Amino acid sequence: MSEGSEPVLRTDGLLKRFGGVTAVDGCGFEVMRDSMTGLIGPNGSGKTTTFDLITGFQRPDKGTIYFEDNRIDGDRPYRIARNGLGRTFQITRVFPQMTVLENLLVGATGTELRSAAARALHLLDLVGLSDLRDEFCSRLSFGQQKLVEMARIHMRPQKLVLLDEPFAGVNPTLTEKLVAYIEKLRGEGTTYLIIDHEMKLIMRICDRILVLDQGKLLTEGSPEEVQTNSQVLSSYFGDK
Amino acid sequence: MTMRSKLRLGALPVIGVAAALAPLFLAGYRLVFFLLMFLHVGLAYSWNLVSGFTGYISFGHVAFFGIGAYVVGILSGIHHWNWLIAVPLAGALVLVISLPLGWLMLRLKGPYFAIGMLAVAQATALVASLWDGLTRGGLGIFVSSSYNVVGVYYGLLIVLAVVMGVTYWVDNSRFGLRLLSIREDESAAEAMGVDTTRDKILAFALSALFPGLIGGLYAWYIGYIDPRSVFSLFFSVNMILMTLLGGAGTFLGPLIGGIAFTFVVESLWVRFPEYHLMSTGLAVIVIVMFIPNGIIDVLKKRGWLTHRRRILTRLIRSVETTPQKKAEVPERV
Ligand SMILES: Nc1ncnc2c1ncn2[C@@H]1O[C@H](COP(=O)(O)OP(=O)(O)O)[C@@H](O)[C@H]1O
Ligand SMILES: [Mg+2]
Repeated sequence: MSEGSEPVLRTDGLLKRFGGVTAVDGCGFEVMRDSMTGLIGPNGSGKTTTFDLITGFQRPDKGTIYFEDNRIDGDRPYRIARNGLGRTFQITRVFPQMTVLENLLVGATGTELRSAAARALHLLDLVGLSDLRDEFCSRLSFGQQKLVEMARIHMRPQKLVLLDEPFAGVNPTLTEKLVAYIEKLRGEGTTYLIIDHEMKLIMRICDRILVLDQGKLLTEGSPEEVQTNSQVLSSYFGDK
Repeated sequence: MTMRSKLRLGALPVIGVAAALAPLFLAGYRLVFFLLMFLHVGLAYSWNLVSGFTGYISFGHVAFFGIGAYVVGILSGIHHWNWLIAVPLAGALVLVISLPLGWLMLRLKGPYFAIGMLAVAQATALVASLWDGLTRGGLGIFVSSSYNVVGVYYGLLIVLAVVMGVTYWVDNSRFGLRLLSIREDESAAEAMGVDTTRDKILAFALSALFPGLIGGLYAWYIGYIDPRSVFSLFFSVNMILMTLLGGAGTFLGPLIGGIAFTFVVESLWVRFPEYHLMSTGLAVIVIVMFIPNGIIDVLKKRGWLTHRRRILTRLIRSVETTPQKKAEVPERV
């Protein structure tokens, strides 16, 4: 897929401290429209916190975040979500005592109901959960919950989706499935920013990679460019 | 919705009409029994609106009941206003108070909210005791010298019908789904675009309004109020008990729990008041251990009730009948 020339997301000088820990330390980067961008870095390098800052769950101590042409740092999360910037969490977070269909409809909050229902049926069909749509999510397997989450985040027309370790704890078969769905939904004009530990996978599916270390942007570029920076990388990831 | 549950819900308006005609046939204690049942069930429905649907468990809902009782006590008892004016004013005042109070309290989560609401109830009781220029303090207020059973019976029946109607709407609306998503995982709900603050406050205000009205009616019914009686912790505990017994966050749960509760209270506790406290504690333990999701959950598991929401069922049916393009990747996991 060709990369757009303009950024859909732009952060500048992001800083976030938790007590003595500086989780994000002057981080600035751009995510290009229509790209599949990977955000990698060792444990505790501030990846999740960066997501929290972008989606309004944490307020940056310093720095700015632009989503398209709007400055969004400090906005409430639901506002950011309704503008078409979706996210998932590192741990799967479906609504357990609600049915699969209800989960999906909440994902379309603020959009027209009838088209939301049609969208839900379409997505359930896509991920193969149609038969389970009236089942409570608490009764689903881990893999099925992952699929619910993937479908739910795509219930509204997203401009940018942030996925926090979507493949963690997922078996290879399901991983390939999730990747296939993402590739498919990407065709609808959504940009992805994906956190993951699996270097090989990220290198394969992403066209652009941001490397975070201790809250700072260490390097960025195409998978090839980042890979050639292997001296730097191997010190953080070892030989994976 | 299945034919069976349609029939079952269709019975509700019939029961409502029967209840409206009951005073023509019943008098004395029998009528009072139903009056008390409406009071209990109405309170359970009120509490369910915020605590059942959003999971913000309030230990202090008696505050709204007590304030409502005092508004009617002061207006009708001291200043001789018509109770038909005083009761709606009680509801209005509680509603007005509940908005900023909800905004403040709903920042607290889990046990902090529960205990915070308990503190609110204690504080309102204290105000009623200490502000004796307004409330006559510990002396209490003689609200009415007559025994107003039939009027209050109808008042409570109307309030109950409205709070049930509101709950039915909530349970079958997107608003209700949003409230449930807050109960399930508030951050995830917010990430889905749910304005959790606004929705919580709205549910809180609805859930405060009805106890305000019911408290006002209670004052007019009982004829004498003082801070200890209308701010009694038992009102809060009973709302929790009835709702958990029937099934929190559902439409029929408070009805089932409230009716069962009224029978138990009126047949046993009245005779053995000294066991009230102990049996309440026991009841909570038994419910939490054996039917954590209430009687309604047992009925659903036995297939006597369905959990499909009307809004979803209708919607999906209408969407499904319009042709859809089939997507690829049909494999199942
Ligand atoms: N809410 C928080 N309170 C305190 N410290 C936090 C909080 N969130 C993250 N941190 C700290 O910030 C650093 C970055 O964490 P995180 O963003 O989760 O890293 P990553 O997702 O890259 O593993 C870690 O040292 C972590 O302990
Ligand atoms: Mg993380």
